[in-house]
Amino acid sequence: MDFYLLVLLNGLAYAALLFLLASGLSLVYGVGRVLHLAHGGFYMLGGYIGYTLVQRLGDFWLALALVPLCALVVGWVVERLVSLVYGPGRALEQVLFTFGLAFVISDLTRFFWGAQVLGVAVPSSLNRPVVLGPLVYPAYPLFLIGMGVLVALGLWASLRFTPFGLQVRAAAGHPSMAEALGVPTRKVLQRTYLLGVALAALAGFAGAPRIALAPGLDFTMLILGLIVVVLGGLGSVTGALYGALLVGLVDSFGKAFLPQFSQALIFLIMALVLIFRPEGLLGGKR
Amino acid sequence: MRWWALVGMGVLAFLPLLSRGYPLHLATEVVAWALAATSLAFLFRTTGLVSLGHAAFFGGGAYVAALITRADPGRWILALPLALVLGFGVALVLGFLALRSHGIFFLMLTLAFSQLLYILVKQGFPQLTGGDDGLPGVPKPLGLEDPAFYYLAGISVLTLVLLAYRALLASPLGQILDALRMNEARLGVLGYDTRFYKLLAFGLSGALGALGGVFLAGHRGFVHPHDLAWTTSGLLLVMAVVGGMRSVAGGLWGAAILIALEAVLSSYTDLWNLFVGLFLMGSVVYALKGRRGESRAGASG
Repeated sequence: MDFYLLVLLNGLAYAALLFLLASGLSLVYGVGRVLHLAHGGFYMLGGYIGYTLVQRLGDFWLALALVPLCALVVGWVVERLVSLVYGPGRALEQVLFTFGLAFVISDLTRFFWGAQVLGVAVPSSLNRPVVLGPLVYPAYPLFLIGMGVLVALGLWASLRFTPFGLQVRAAAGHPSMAEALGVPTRKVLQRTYLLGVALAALAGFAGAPRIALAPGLDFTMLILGLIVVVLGGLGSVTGALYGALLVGLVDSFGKAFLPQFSQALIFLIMALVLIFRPEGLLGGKR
Repeated sequence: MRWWALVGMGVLAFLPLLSRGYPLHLATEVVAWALAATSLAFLFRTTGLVSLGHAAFFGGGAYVAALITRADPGRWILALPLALVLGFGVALVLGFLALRSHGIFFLMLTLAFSQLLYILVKQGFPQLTGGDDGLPGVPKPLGLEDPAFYYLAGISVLTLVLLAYRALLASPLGQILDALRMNEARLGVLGYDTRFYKLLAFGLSGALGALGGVFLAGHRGFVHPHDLAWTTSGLLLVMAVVGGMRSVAGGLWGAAILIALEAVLSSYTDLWNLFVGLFLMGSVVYALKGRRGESRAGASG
């Protein structure tokens, strides 16, 4: 029984990271119809920038606060570039452009940080076990789960109750009508993009103590993010939540019981969903 | 294509034979990549679809060839058709899954599938696929052990493929496939089963990509997980884009340009993927100026 609880908690911690990654991917697609293939690059960049900040400042929490800000700065510049290919009916250009961008980010991180595997230590305040009934469990994954829940609630509340959220929902639901009614869709998309890359970078650094930083991480995470988004339905944050939970748990239980094939298992589930629900689990309801 | 261009290409094709050695090695490399880049350009030209995971077919074909022929060079007879059938079949299955809904799923599924294959080959079955190290010791087919003969065989195959591609475009089937890219809805209204033709085009593309991989395996003598990696998919994409997605010989030109560039640049820097990425971004921005509006993206479905 403890074993199942352990696997469940691991899966939830993983799902929290995937949700942070995929919600931005999904929102950017929802608002701008832009499939942002450089999203995994921002995840990895967040991890590497955080690694350097921890080295320089020596404080995990300060780094955790600074990483999203750094991602905002980088994202602001990159968004200018990506905006060259904004627009309806230009999905192909967007995909090629952001794919190229992913290449550039990937090689630049390798250039600055090298190709060796880098790890970030768990902060000392969380580097201790927690007793959960029969199970003794490390504290750090619990922090990740808590962060995921907080971000999910925060996203839900800001989409539901703030003017920005209203504009996002308007732009995602009916872009041309929203524009006609005076919603600055270009600006909304920019902010959504920045929010998305900041969340991805946050996930990259928060996940670094558990998922080591190495070249190729960007694409592994991008694929997982895309699978989450496909499962949940493109453009929906709730869908990203369900997709992340599904992928996180399947991965965790798959690793426990079929260690070599956990990746294949995730892909199998994606194939099944595409067969029976081609628009994703929540796709039709938007 | 003009006759002088054909003559020029013929001369260029035989030039590497004079020097043997490195130029011949590079030229053979170009043939392998050109086959795969052509398959990618063919897919776009006919359906408007872009595969972001074509390394799955390219590297997959290479691994099939390596796994079968390593024990016995005589088995090339078996490896070649098997790789083609597998490439065709896998493309059909992927297309069946991805073409049911929004076109963007096609991009994501091809990308995800190639990454899955990459991970499985790298980590899933290390005793079979050699894991991180790949598989060394792939022989060349019997009778083609000499690199010059192997190159000539490759050039012949490539020429046949390009001629077949041209003939296909002129045929009734080619007309339907052309119409598929230009106006899928109208083609459907005319009573054509557009999904069938899309699947057919993707299947052919998959088989051709695998053919390139088979040729690559015999040329290099080894296969490596890198052949399946997303960087390989991206490089193929750049080749197709640089050479021209619409033209029959685009894949060949793109492969020649990029292989030559890599050979030159790799002696100065190891940031090759940075250039590939900048190439992709630059070609998109450049293309935007020229053919705005005409560039109807298949990905938008």
